[in-house]
Amino acid sequence: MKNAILFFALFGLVCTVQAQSNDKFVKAMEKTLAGMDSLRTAEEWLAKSNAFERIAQKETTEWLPAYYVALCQAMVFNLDPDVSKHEALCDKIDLYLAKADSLNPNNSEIYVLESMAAGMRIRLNPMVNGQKYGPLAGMLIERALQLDPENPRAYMQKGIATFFTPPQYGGDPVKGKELMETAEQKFEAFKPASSIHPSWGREVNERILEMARKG
Amino acid sequence: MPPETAFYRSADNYLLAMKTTLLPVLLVLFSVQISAQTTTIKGRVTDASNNPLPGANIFLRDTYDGATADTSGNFQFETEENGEQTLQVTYLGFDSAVQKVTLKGGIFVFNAALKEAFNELKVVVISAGAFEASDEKKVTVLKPLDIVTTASAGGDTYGALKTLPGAQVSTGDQEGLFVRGGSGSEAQTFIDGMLVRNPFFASTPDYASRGRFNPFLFKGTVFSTGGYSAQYGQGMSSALILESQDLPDRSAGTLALSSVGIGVGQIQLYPKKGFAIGGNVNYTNLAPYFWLVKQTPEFTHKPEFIGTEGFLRQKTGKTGMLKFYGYYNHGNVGFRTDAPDGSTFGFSVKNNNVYTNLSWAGLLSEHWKINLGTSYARDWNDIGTSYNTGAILPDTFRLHNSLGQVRAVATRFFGRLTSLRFGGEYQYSTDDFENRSYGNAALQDHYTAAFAESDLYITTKLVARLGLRLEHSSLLEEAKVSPRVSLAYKLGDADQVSFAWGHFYQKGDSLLRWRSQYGQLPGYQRAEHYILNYQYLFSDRTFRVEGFYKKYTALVTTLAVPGNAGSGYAQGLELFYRDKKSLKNVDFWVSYSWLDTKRKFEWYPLEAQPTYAANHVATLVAKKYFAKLRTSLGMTYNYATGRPYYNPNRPESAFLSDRTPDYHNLSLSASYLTMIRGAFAVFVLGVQNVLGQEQVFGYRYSADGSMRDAIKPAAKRFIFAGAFVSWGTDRRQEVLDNQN
Repeated sequence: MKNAILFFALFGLVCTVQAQSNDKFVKAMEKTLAGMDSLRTAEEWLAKSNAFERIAQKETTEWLPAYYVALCQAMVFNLDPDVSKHEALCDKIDLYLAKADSLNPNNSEIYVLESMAAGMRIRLNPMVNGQKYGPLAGMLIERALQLDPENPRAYMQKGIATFFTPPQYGGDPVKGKELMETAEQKFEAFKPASSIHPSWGREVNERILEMARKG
Repeated sequence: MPPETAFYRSADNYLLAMKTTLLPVLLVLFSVQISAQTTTIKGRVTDASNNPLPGANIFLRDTYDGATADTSGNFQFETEENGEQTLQVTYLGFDSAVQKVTLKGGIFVFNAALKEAFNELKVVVISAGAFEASDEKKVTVLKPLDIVTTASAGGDTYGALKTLPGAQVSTGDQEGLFVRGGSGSEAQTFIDGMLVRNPFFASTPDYASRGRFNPFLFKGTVFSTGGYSAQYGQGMSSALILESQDLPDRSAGTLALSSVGIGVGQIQLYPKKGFAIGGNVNYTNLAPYFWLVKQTPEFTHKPEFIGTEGFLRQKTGKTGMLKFYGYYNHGNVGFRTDAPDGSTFGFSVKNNNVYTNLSWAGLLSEHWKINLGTSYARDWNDIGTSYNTGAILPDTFRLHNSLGQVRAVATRFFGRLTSLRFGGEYQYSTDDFENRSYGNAALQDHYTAAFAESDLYITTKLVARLGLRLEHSSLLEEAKVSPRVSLAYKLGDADQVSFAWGHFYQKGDSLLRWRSQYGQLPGYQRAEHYILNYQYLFSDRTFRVEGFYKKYTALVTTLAVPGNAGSGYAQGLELFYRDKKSLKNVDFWVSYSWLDTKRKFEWYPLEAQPTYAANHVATLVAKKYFAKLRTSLGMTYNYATGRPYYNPNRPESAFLSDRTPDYHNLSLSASYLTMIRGAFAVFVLGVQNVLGQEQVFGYRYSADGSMRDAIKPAAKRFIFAGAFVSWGTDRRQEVLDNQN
C-alpha cells in the first residue's frame, strides 16, 4: 500500500514535471522565434540556428526545432559567400529534415523545405546535380501541395522555383507569378496551428512577387 | 556520421533523457533552497591553430542553455544547472568537443580547441600513375561527364582518355591505348574488377575501332598509366578500371537518333524492392554517311553494327548490391584498298561478341567487405582477305576466343582509412584459329592469381600501399610474383607527392602464342615501373607533373623462332593542368607528354622506337558553356610529333629511323540542351579534324619497296550530328511510395 501511494505520488509528480517541461519548451521556442524577421546576416542566422539546435538536442521527440534548424541553415546557405561550406550545409539540412520527417511524417511544411533543399543541391553544381535534383525538387513540392492544399509556403516555394527556373527546364515567369499570387491569398487565410508552428514567408513572397510584377 | 545524429537515436535517448532529467528535477524540487545559484560559463572556441571559430555552438547537453561564439571566438552564458553536467561545442566541419563539468555557481571558464573533422579533401590519396573520374569521390581530376563531353572523344571512353598525358593520340590506324611506350595489347580493361578480353570492336587493318561500352553505365573510372594495384594483372602498361553504377536515381527512357544510327533504351527502377532493370538496343550503319561523304577505301560492306545490352541491379540486405551487366554485339565491315603497285588488298570481318558480368559486393560487418564476381565472354571473328583477286573470300580465317573467370576479394578495414585487401582470381581462356592453308590451332590456359595489398595510413598525410601478386599460367607452366609499392605524402592542403614502383607481368598476345606452335612457346614478359608524381588540386584547378622510367625485359620476339629475346625501356615526363575557374564558364585542360622509348619486340631486329610511339604529344581540351543559349561548345586540339614507320629501303642500321609528318587534329563539338515535353534533350554536332589537316599514320610499300602509299584516315573529316532524348517516367508515384 505504501508503495502504491508512493507510486501515485511519483506518477503525479512526473505528470507535473512533464507538463512544466512542455510549457518550458514552448516558451523557449517562442523566445527563439522572436525576432526571426529582423535577421539579416549569415552570422545572425547561424546564431539562431544554434539556439534551435540546442532545443533540438534536448527535445528529441519534437519536430519543430529540427525544422527550424533546417530553415536557418538554408538562410545561412543563401547568405554565406564561403562556397566551400555549402555542401556540408546541404548535408546538415538534409539530416535535420530527415529528423523532422521521422518525428512527423507526411507534413507539408517539411516537404516544402525538402524541395528547397533539392534546389540548393542544384545550385551547388548545376551540371552534375541538375538532372537528379531538378525533377526531385518538383516532385517534393507537389507532395507538399497534396498534403496541405492550404499551405501558403508550398505555393510560394513552387512559385519562386517556377519563376527563377529557365524556360528550357520547365520554368515559366507568368506561372510563377500566378503561384505567388495564390500564395498571397493563402497567407491571408492562414492560421498557424500554434504560436510555434511555421508561419513565415509572407514578406519573402511579397518581395519576389513585386519583382515579378515589375517584370 | 556527423555528431548530430547521435541525438537522434530518439527512443533510447528519450528514455535516457527521462531518467537523467527526472532525477535532477526531483532533487531540485526537494532542495530548491540550496541549489538556486547561477553559474556563468565563458571561454573561447578555436581550431587547432588557435584561430577563432565564430558561430560555434556551445551548450550544456540536455538543457536549453548555451551560446554562439562571437567573431573572436568568445562566448558567455549563464545557467542555473548545477552539479555534474556535460558541456558540448559543435561547429560545422569540426569534430565536437564534449567535456564533463561540475558546476557550483560563480564563473566557469572553458576553452575549446576543436579538431577538424575527417574530410576526404584533407586525406592523402595515391595519385602516381592514376587518373580518376568519379561522381562519388570529391578528389578527382575528371568527372564521368567529362568523358562524354570531350570533343575529340565522340562519346568513346578510350577517345577521352587519349586527352590525358601518357597516352598516344596519333594512333588512328589501330585501336587501343598506347601508354608510355607500351603497345595497345599492354593496356587492359577491367569492369567491376574483372578483365575484359575484347574491349574494342573487331579490329581492321589501318583503321581504329571504338570501345564497346556505353560510358553512361559507369559511375567511376580509373585510368592508370602505371604503378597500379596488385589486384590487377596481365597489363604491362596500363589498366582502365571501370566501376558500374548502382541503382539509378529513377526510371528513364532514352532515344538516340544520329547521322550514323539509332538507339533506344529503358531503365526501370523499383525503389521499394531495391531493384532495377534496363537495356539498350543500338543499330549503327555508316552507309548513308559514306554515301554523303566520300571515303578513300572502297567499302565492300559499309560498317554496320548491332548492339544490345542489358543490366540488372538488386540490393541485397543493407549494404549489398548484386549486379549483372551483359551485351551482345554484331559487327560487319569490309573494304578494298588499292596497293601502291596497282594490286588490290581486300579485307572483311564479321564479328559477334557476347559479354556477361555478374558481381556482388557488400559489407559483412563494420570491418569486412566482400566482392565476388564472375564473367564469361566469347568473341567470334570471321575474316576474309584477298590479294589482287578482286572478290573477297569470306571465312579465310576464323578466330574465336573466350574468357571465363571468377574472382573474390575480401577487404578488412582498420579504422577509417587503413585497409587490407586480399583475394584471388581464376581465368579460363581459349583461342581457336581455323585457316584453310595453315590448318587449325587451339590454345587453352588456366590462369590463377592471388593477391594481397594494404592501404596503410601512417597519418592522414602519409599512405603506403604495399602489394604482392602471385600469378600462374598452366599454358606457360610458370608462376611469377610481382611486388608493388605506392607511397603518397601530402605536403599541404592542396598538394602532394606520390611514388610508385612495381613489377608487371604479361603473357604474350594470343596470336603470337598460336604461332609458337611452330617453335617454343614464349613465356611471361615483364615491365618494371618507377613513377614520381606531384599533384596540386585545389577547388577548380589541378596541376600534375609526373616522371617515369619503365624497363621491359623478356618481350616476345617472333623474328626467327618465337621467344623472349626482346627488351626495351621507356622514360618520360608528363604535365597536366586543368582550370575551371580562371575564365568564366570555361573549363579547359592541357596535357603534354614527352616520351623517350626504344624496344626490341615482335619482328624488330634491334631496339628501336616503336611505330606507335611519338616523342611529343600535346592536347588542349576546352569547354565553354553559354548559359543563355543553353549551349555548350567544346574543342580539342591534338598534336603529336611524327611516328616511326618501316621503310624497306633502309639498311638494318637505320631500322625505323624515318618519321611520319607531325599530327594535328582540331575537333569541335556543340551541344544544345533543352526540354521537349518534359524530356531532357541534347542536340549534338561534332566535327573531327575540322581544318582537314593531313594525318599520316605510316606507309604501305609495294613488294619491291619502290612505291608507297600513305596510311590515312578513311576521310579527312568526320562529321556527326545527333539528338539524344531522355525522359524520366512519371515517378511522382515512386517518390510517394518511397516516402511512405
